[in-house]
Amino acid sequence: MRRADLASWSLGTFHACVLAIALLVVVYRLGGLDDALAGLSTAHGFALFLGLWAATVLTTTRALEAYRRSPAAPGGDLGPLVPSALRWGALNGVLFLWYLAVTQLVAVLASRPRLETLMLVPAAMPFLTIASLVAFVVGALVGLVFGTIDVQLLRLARSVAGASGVEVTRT
Amino acid sequence: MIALDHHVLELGVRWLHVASMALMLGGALLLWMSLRAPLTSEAAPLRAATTYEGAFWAAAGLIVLTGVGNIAAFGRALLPAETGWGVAFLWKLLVIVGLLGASVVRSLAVAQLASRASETRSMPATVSPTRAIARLYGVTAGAIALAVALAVVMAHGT
Repeated sequence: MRRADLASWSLGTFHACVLAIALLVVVYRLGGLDDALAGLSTAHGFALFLGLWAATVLTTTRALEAYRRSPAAPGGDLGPLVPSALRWGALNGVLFLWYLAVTQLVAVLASRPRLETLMLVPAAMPFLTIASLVAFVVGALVGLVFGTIDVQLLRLARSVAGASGVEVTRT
Repeated sequence: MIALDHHVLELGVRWLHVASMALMLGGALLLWMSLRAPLTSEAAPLRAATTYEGAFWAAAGLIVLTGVGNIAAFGRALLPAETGWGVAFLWKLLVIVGLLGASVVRSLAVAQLASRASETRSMPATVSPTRAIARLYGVTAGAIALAVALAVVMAHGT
């Protein structure tokens, strides 16, 4: 994996952090945060966020690379960044779901290392397929929202840096 | 599997949370002071700023990660959103989201300035971009200080 540049690293981490905080606020406001966190060990919670963080930085890096390759990029038109964010956001949703499934399987195998547990995997595949479709759509919507926000943030950064064109630079 | 004492783990998570905050706040204050001073060359402060930005986002991720861990440590004793503690908690999260949004702008601007500096090997005669970024470092330090103040309110009651 290539090292993420500053733009991808900052935007990817921003997305992962805001997503986690938004989820935290919604669950807290609904009154179910203590129950949700009680069912999660520290190691499992850390693994979940680290997975979300890694997948989000990876897909943000790919989305920015796709934008940099687009014909509009040299002219400073940020429009193509939004569809790129939508596509890579959809993939991020699926990636994170599969990561969740693998970490859940590892947690179950660690507590009950039996062959029967592994036999459940083929039975879970139809559910995982349907869940992947849902994650694809949710990821695309989240990507669309963040892509739109990113365009505004990049415009603000351009005005702060005093640039004549929008640069999504690799530094 | 190594059994880790629950209290040692909680202490480790809190230490990481505070250390990440200290890195973000200390770095922002240092760069705010450095970039406000008259500069003969902008290359060195920009290199320092670029390094800080990379570290800032690592610390931001760790703050959120360990912050959720700290909340989980409350268990069933977590106070609801309607209490004074809950209101301070929600305000702290709002301040953090604002801080992160402003920080993305700052990081992207630093990336653009550093990229231009490496291309031209010199900065424009006007120092306004770095002055603007210096102001953003000041805002960053202020927002972190506000989040710390809210954390103190949460720790010692409202």
